[in-house]
Amino acid sequence: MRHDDTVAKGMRGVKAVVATDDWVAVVADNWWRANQALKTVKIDWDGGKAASVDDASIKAFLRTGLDATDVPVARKDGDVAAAFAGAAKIVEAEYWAPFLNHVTLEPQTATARITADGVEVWVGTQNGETAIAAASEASGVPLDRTIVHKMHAGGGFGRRGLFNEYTKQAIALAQKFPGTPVRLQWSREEDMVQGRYRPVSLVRQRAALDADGRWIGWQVRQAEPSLAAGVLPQFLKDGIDQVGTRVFSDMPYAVPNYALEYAMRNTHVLLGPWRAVAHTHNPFFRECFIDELAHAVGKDPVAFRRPLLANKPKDLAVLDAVAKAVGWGTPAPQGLHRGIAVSDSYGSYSAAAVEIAVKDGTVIEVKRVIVALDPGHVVHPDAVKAQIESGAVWALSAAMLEEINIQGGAVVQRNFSDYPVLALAQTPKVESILMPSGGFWGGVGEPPMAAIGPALGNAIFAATGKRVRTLPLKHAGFSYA
Amino acid sequence: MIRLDVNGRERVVDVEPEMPLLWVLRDELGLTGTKYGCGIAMCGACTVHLNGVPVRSCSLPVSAAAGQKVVTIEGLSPDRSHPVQKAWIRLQVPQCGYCQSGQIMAAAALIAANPDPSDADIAEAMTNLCRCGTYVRIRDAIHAAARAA
Ligand code: FES
Ligand code: FES
Repeated sequence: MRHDDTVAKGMRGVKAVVATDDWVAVVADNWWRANQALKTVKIDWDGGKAASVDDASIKAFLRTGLDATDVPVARKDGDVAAAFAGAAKIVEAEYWAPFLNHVTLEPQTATARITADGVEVWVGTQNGETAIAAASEASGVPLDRTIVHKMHAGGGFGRRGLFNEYTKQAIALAQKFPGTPVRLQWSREEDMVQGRYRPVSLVRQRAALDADGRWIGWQVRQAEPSLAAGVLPQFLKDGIDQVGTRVFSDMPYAVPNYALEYAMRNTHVLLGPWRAVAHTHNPFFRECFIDELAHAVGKDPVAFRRPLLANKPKDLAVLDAVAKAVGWGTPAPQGLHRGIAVSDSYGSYSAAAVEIAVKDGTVIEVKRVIVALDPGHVVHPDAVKAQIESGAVWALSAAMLEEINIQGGAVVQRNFSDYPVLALAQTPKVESILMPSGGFWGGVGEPPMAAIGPALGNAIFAATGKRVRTLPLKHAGFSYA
Repeated sequence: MIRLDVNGRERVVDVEPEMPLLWVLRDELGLTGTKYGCGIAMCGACTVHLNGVPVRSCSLPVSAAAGQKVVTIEGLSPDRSHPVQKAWIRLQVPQCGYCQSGQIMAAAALIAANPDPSDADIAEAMTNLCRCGTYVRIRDAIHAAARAA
C-alpha cells in the first residue's frame, strides 16, 4: 500500500496523517474535517492474490465442496446409502446464503490516551477481556497499567467482541499525541468495507422418502468458509467447524439414516459471529427443505414434522404453540398465507409462524410474526419480549434485504443506500409466546431469530408456489412492501 | 463566524459554512446526544429540529441553520418530561440506544404536527433506522405519547 497525503496535511484542523502497512488515518480537531481530509489522500491498495476474487469465483469455489469426495463427516446415523437405494421418492435441493454485515448503527469507534502511567481506553465493547488484552498488546503497556472503560456500545451483535482492530488503531493514533485522548471514529463507509461478515454458505440436501411418505434418509453437504478456522479455533475439530455445522449436527428429527458432511472452503473475506451465527442461515436451509418434503409427499408441514419430533417434547411444544396461535389447520384470513418453522438454539427452543400478503405475485408484505420461546426460565418477561421483537426485525431484514457482494476482492457496498436494512414501515406485528418449562437456562437474544426466516420462506411458498432457496429473497424475484 | 440558536441559547462558531450541523453540534459545541450513523441522510440518528421541523443534521450545512432555532435531544425538555420521552421510558423502547435520540426527535416532531397519528402516519414519518429493531415499541410508544400529550 502506498499513499500521498500532500493535500490532506495542509487542510484546516488537520493535526496528523498516520499511515501503517494497511491503513491510513487523519487526526484533526473535528471529525468532519478529518474525514474531508482523508478523502483527499490518494491510496494505492495492493489487493494481492485476492484482487481477482468476486461473488462468482467464491460461489464456484464453494461448489467444489459439494462434489468433493474427501470431506469429513460430522454426523452419521444408520445407513444412508441403503435408505436411498430403497427410496420411493428422492428430493434434492441446493440452498445459498450471502455474506452479511452487522452494520451496528454506531460505526466502530474507540478513544485512547497514553500517559507516563499507562494506557486508558474508552470503548463500547461486548468483551472487556479481549479489549483490555488488545489495548495492552497494541500499546506495549502491561495489563496492570491498562484501563478499559466499557462504554455503551451502539449495537454489538457479535461485531464488538472478538475484534479490537479499531481499539488498536486508536492506540496507534494516541501514541502520536502523548497525554491527549484521541477518539477514532470510523465512517459508515469504512465500517461497511471492514466488517467481519457472516459467512456465505452453499448447502445441498437430499432426502429419501418411502412409499408411505415417511422420511427414511437425509444427506446434507455444507460447503462454506469456516468462522472457527478464522477466529474461534477452539470450535474446530477434525476439519469440521463445530459452530458452522449447528442446526444440522444437532438436528432433532428422528430420521433413521442421516449423514452430515462438511466441506470447508475458506476465502480471504474476514468473518465474524453475526447475531445467532449459524442459526441465521442453517435453520432457513433445514426448515424450508423440510417444508419441501412435506409438500412432496402431500402432507401438512406441521403434521409431517410432529411424529419426527415425538421424542423432542420441547421442540414439539413450541411448534404446537405457534401452530395454535396462528390457527394452523383452519383457513388463513382472506388474502393471507402462512408459514411455520421450528429450531432450537443456544439451549432454548423456538418456533415461528409468519403471515404474509403478496401483491402482484411478487411484493411481500409481512403482516404478523408469532414466536414461541422456551428458554427454561424467564426472569424479566418484558426484556425477553423485546429480544423477540428485535430478533424478528433482524431475521426479516436478513431474509428480505441484506447482502454483501465481493468485487475485485473487496466489499461492494458502502452505506445504507446499497445495504438496506429493515425500516419501521416494513415491521409487522410481533407476538411473543413465552413458555419457560423450567430445569435449564437457555439464551433469549439469538434463539428467537432462528425460525422466523424459514417460516417466511415457507409462507412465500404457500402463497406463490415458488420455493426460495437463495437469500436474500430478491434473487427469487420478490421485493418487500 | 456563524451565529446559531441552539436549545434557546445563542452560540457563535468559527467553522466552514459547509460543515454539517451535526459536526458543529458534536465536535464544536459538545452536544453529543445527536449521533452519527451514515452521513448521507439515510439513518436519522442525527435528527434535530430546525424551527420545529425534523432535519438530518449530517446533511445540513451549518450555514443553513444560521439564525434559525435548532433543538437537539438535550433541549427537548429540561427533565425528560416530554410526552415522547415519558412514553419511551414507560414502554422501555431503547435497546442499544444509539438511534434513540433521533427517533425521539422525529417522534416529537410527528406528534407536534399530528396529535393522533395512525399506524400509516407513523410508518410514513418514522423513517429513522434502528438496527436493534425496536420498531414495534417505537410504534406503540408514539401512540401512547399521543394519547398522553
Ligand atoms: S447520520 Fe444523518 S441520517 Fe444518518
Ligand atoms: S436501539 Fe440500537 S439502533 Fe436503535
